[in-house]
Amino acid sequence: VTSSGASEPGTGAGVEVPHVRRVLRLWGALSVICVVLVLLLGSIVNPTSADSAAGFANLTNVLFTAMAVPVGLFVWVFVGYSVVVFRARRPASGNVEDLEDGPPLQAQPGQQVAWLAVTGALAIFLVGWGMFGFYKQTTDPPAKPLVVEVTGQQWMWTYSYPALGVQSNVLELPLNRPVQFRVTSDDVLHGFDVDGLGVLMDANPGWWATAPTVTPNKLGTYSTRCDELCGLYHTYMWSQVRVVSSSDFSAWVTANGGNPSAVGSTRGA
Amino acid sequence: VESSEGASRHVLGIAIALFVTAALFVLLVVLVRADSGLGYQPAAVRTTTGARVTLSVFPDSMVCHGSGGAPHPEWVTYCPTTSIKVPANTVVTVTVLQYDSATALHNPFFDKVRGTVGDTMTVNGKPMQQMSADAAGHTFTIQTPPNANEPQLFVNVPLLGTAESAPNAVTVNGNQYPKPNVIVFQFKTGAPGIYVWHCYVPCGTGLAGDGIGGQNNFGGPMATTGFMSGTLTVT
Repeated sequence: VTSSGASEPGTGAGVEVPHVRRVLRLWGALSVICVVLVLLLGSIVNPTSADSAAGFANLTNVLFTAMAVPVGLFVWVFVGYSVVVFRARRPASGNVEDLEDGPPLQAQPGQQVAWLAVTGALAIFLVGWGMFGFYKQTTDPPAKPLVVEVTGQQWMWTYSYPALGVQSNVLELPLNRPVQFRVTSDDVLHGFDVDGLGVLMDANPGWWATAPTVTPNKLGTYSTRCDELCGLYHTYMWSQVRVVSSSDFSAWVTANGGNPSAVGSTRGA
Repeated sequence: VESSEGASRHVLGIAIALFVTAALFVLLVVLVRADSGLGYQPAAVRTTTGARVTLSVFPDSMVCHGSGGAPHPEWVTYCPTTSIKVPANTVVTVTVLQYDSATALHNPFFDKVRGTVGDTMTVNGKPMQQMSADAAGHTFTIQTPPNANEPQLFVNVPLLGTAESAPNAVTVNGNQYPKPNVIVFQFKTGAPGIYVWHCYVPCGTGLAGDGIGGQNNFGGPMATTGFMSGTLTVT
């Protein structure tokens, strides 16, 4: 479709139909509707955010989806319109061999430049957005975070709090206390993903990876899961995450044989 | 007439496409919900019922899975079953006869008894809460599947391995083994549900990660329901 004055198939050569204008209007209307829906439903579909990193991740989900929707619709509306309007119909003779190809599509430099410019600008923006987010999470990290060592093993996450002398299969975190995860694997590649905390990183066998410091700021129960297919019980590789008050955390440390006096500052809990 | 016929075919095509899509979706849901799709289930699997469960761990499958026609007679296995049914809200007593020798744990988390009554067990009649990671032959570890409708249940019991040089002292179904360590522990079940359990000592083959530092033996029997993995059904 290279002209807004193409003839409607079957309507005679003299009738000019503004196909491109039609498609662009349809695309524009659908884009507005879908982007509004994305913005409205984003907060419902996204997981609860219990720290600033998760909030940024949720915002990124909504933003990226809202930006991707018009691009996707641009393709699908054009394809859908073409399939419906320009579908080859059975010729009057009834013989399909009488069907003829439509006019060949010609490259339009302006359209190609526009397409590359728009999608290129979007891609560059997304890269910049990601770098901005990473910068926000890694610059000026809070001092003395609570270090949690996370070990993935087919098919369970286990957590060690070296400063507290506690090991657990449940991830217990104090409210408003910066936490730093160090993640490894005892066997194959796993993916450590904490809903609500915006933490998602690979657990690699043989080395420790450190995640940016996060600070849980909302009490509640969340969960971890493995994001890398890791074998028979991959789907069972999860654990509870409990963000609790400072006093409850100290009680939990005591109950698990640890040293609650090493819990340290809770920064406003 | 041609146009009407074409439109009918068009609608019919859309209807068939929708039907096939819906059928594939239903099939996907059914397959995902089917627990029976998890691994090889040998014919020897049976159900133990009641509040007392007795299991054995053998270094091979000769007793439990038989040598004639068994796919992997050399595989280590729990016996006589990996499908356990126990009553809800009950203290269950488990006895494990451990015939296999020790294989070092990778993760020291599993060297401690957790989730049992009193966080303890007895080994050959003596209470024990923890053992060296090198001493564990296997573990019996129950965990809750990711299902919000089921209560949390976590039990981990390391099973002391027999001495590497222990002579064969007992005969089971014509097969010779060292004298087993007898491990007894209790745990309390909650509401009905289906849990999974398996061993966390790398006692299988390298199938599931061969070549990673030479330390992964989580394949083979470790990754196969009916050998070192199973289900605990609380009814």
